[in-house]
Amino acid sequence: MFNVLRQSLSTGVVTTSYPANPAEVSAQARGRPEIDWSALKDARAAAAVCPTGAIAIEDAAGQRRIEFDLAKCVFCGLCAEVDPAIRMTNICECAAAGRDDLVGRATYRLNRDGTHAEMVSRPAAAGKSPLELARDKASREALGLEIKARTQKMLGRSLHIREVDAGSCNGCEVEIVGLNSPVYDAERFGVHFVASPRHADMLLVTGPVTRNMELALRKTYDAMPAPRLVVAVGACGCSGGIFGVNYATRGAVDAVIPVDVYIPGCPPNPHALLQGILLAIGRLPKPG
Amino acid sequence: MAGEPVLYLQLRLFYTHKGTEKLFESLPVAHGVRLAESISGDSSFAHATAFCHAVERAAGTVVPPRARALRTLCLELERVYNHVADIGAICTDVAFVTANMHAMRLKEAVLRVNEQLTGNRLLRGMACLGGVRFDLDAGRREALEQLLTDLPPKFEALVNLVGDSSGTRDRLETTGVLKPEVARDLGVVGLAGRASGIDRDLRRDFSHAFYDAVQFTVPVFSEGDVQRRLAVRREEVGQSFTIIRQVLEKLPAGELHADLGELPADRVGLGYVEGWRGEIFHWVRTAPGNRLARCKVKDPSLQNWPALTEAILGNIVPDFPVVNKSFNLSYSGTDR
Repeated sequence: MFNVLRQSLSTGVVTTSYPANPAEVSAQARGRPEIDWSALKDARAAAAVCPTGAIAIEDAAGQRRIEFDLAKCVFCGLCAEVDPAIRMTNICECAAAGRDDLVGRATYRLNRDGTHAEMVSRPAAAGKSPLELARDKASREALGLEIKARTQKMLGRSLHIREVDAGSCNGCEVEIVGLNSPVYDAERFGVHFVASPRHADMLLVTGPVTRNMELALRKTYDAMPAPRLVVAVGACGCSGGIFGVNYATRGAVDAVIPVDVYIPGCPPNPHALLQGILLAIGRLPKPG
Repeated sequence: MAGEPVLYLQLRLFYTHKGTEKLFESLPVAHGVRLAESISGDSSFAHATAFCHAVERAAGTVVPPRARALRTLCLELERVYNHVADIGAICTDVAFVTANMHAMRLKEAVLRVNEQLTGNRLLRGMACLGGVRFDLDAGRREALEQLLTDLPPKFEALVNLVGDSSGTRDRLETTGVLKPEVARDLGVVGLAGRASGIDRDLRRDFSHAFYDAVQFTVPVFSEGDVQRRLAVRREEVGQSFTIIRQVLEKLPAGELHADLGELPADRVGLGYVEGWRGEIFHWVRTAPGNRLARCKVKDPSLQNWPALTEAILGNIVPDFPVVNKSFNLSYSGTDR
């Protein structure tokens, strides 16, 4: 007993101060890729090496339509190796409330050799999440207070999450378990994992939804009391990922139940998960 | 059940079947590496490496020594973070949550070094056909060496914490016994097998990657209870530290990956890796146009699930979580 206490005391506090301070990721971490659309000269090589089809091209009538879908991206960085217009950042927090906020599209007129001439339509400014916009401390604190007020009003100071593995490879689960570690400690936000959808305010769904789990996922969703939130986790949950839709899977979670927030990544690290969960809480109806 | 003891356990698997093997046939072979990383998330690198071994063997490619050494490093890092996490999780299931908190803290330290070495906390994106994608430059080497200085004493403190707790030992010893003869009959593999007297480890018996160049011992116990499955993990983490140290000492210079060129059609290759859970096999037959006609994947969980139904018999229901955790089998790896 004395040893247990001594070890705990000598360890001290190991919890991160995220989101009050930026995410603790190394410079080598591969987060979301950044595309310099005006410098993109030929997207074919990047599209060919992309394992999940996150970079898709469509040629028609002398024009090329390019779609970059962050929800499908597994952050492997292969595209950045073949295309100088693409750069890997170490930004891991890219959760979004709308599926379309994760997609960038541009159209180019084509040269004879298949390279891009000029841009016909540029991508709209990517939707930034409230947490991402709140870079400075003051607005971060204001946002934190607002989320806190809403949570208190709707949920009474805590958020209960039911996690559902709808066909995941369990990579996302490795990181979700990390939320309960002393390093990320989701309990400091009142976030708590429960064993039944009846007790839950939020469903955290991982994996491409397999046909064998489709009914179970629907029933779990139906068993939840309102107000309820659904968060799709990882490339597979957001879009079907590398598995896509096949004889055994239905693909993205939103093909089966409505989704409030998407957390891209393969797997999203605990910072990204926290950001997504906090973003989802912000989507609760405004109090009053 | 009859009161508290479990009389019979029926497994209902394959809820997470994703058509993975069929998917390998429709993807270019290079994309198969990324798919292999998603067979079982906690064995991302081991599965990807087994897949690479299989394709490289079919293509007749010789992997450069530096790549083999770096693969070994990553395989051992994967073993360390999973074993540490499991030791903590086993403690949680017998209500020693403090130990799990320490274990999760240590696991996080390993995951952060994984990220520095390969860009991803689960080592994804590191494997590629013919070798590995990222070199161990001076900065990364320093991060790894720092981990090798910091982690072993912390891990030892965790082991002592668990070992000194008589209540924990009382719950773990003679719980969930898998007898050696049963383990042999079921063909149990990996750490569960080694806790039940099956002295088999592909790293030593069918050396792959860089394992022929390093010295290590394979811990084997014959009691087959939860305590021994924990002990195998404990000993293997220690061995992993010595393997990583030896690899760093002997790290050969040279290329990071060999070029596979055009994949010859109608060749077969068997790839195998001793992952942290046990032996992983990938078997491929190639097709024209850099594609695969077939890829058969075998995760160690496949053989070990039936062992759980044997080990749980006669145990009380409250011990089911800890017995289950002591095997820690993968649904996704089994279901594919």
